[in-house]
Amino acid sequence: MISTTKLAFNYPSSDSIHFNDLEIAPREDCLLLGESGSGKTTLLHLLGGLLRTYQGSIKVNSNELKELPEKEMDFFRGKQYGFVFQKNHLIHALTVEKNVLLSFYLANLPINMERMKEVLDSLGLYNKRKSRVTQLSYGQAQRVAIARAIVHRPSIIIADEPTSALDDQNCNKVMELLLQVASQNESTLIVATHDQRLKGIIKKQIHLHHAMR
Amino acid sequence: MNLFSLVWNYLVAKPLNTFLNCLLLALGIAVITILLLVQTQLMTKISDNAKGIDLVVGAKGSPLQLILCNIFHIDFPTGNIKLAEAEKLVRNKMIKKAIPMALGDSHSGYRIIGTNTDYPQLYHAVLEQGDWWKKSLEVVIGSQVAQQLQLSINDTFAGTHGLSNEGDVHEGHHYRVVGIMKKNNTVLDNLILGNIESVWLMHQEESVSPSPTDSSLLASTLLPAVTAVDSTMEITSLLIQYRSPMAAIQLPRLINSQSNMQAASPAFETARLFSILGVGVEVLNGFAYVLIVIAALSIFIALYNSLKERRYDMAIMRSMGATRTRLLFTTVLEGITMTVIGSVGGLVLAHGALMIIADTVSEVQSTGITGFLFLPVESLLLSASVGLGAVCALLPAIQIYRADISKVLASN
Repeated sequence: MISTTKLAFNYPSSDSIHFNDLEIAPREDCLLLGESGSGKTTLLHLLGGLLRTYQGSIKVNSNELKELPEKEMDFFRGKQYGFVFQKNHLIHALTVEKNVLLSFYLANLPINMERMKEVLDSLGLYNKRKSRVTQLSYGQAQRVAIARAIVHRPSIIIADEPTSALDDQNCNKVMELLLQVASQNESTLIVATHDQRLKGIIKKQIHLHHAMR
Repeated sequence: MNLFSLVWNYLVAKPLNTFLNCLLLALGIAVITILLLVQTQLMTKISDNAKGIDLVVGAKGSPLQLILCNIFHIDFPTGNIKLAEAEKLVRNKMIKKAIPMALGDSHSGYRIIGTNTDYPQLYHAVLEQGDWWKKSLEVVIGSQVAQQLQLSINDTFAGTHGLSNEGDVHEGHHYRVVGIMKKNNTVLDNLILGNIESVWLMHQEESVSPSPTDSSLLASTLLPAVTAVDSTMEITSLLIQYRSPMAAIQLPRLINSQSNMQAASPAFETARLFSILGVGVEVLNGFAYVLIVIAALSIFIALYNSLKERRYDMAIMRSMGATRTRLLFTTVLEGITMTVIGSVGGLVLAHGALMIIADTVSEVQSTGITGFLFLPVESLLLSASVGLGAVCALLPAIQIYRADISKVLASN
């Protein structure tokens, strides 16, 4: 379902990076491992359609990403992807509930209140749903970010360094949660990390080496 | 969750900023609206009150004063003119109608005017109750007078000498109310009307005047009850209607050069008055525009600053499927929402303030200015504020439109 061939990307600084071909099957969990600067985030952004000026090919559900017009790419991303970013950046002006509902709205999907409540409930955030996101603890904020990424049942969940700021206990909890929601939603989970603790949790691993040239 | 809810939440998340921006704009809009409302109403009042009066003839002095006193009843008379001289003038063929006026007394601040029934007819006055005056000392009062002084038919009162409240009270004679006029939004609302003989009667004790009624001689053309060419009688002024437009050129010159009286044209004098007041209005208007420019700048700066912290928000929203145009639209809508709130607030403020002023300040009350009038220009102001919001938000919005999401997300 996700496959790349001869993928390469030129940075504005005229450095370029080449990636080994990869193939990720539907519902497969996958770890992108590598030190910082190894191009993990670049690859994630390429796979997520956030970077669209690449050489080679990226096919997602048999769509060549760079060939989709920008608007269609935006809609495609909204419907098919769920992103969990390192900083779990939430929209501060909105409540927990509205942060999650934003996923439906921005992806042009019908607002499903039941689904939102169900997801918040399963993540133990139901009674926090009217709170402002500034009142949440780090762990709660991360769970809201996960809820936001999965509420619209995307086929691909992309997580960028979800555990780097967490202790062992919370690291395990978050990974369990991500794997669980991914399997519940029948989504593909792609996690980029330099966190060696995750090596034992996800079998399929892609190692990125410092390949700048 | 929709576009407006998103925009609204962003605005409410910074209540003080939003409030300040809206307030600045509201103040600017309010000042402009109040000026517009007052100016428009004063203009219509003035033209309504001066309608049908082509020329005012009175004692020599300031022509503006003559107009203010005899048409708008706000200044003091320039003096008196001899009735005999007035009669001589009225015989001129260029004059269609001449209404004599005798001023000098008041009651609780409301002026008592000695005149004939041509005067209320000039304003198409209609009686609410009672009848027009027939004898001396009978008066018809304006609706505002009746309401403020709680006067009704057959009530009596004594006039006060002079046009302010401090004058001596004429205790010897009492006026009797025989009619009350319907409110018609002219000066009549604030006047007490009677015949000229009543005014003379009041002042008989002070100046020795012959009795006005017992005469078999030729009756005066202006005041049938008075002997013509009575050299001792005086009136304050004459309101004149021309027979033809030619009179406008000849009559004022004739009066000003060949008699002891002066003629003043209401149209000319009010235009002069407005050009004097115009400077003040211009200054206030300029001040209001400065306020609006500051408000616009402040909205622009607020959006521009929040752009920095919202860069990441916007990138996240892009990753969630928002298109560039949608984010552009969100930012523009945010600007527009602020300016619309500000200008609606400004209009409410302006009307509210005028309602309160018109209700509490008696000087404003007597001019009949109200906060309940809505001008078509106001909807223009409102739509202009939409444009202003869009312009303020455009530059920040374009910057958001151009942002590279991947770069923003990758920069921690």
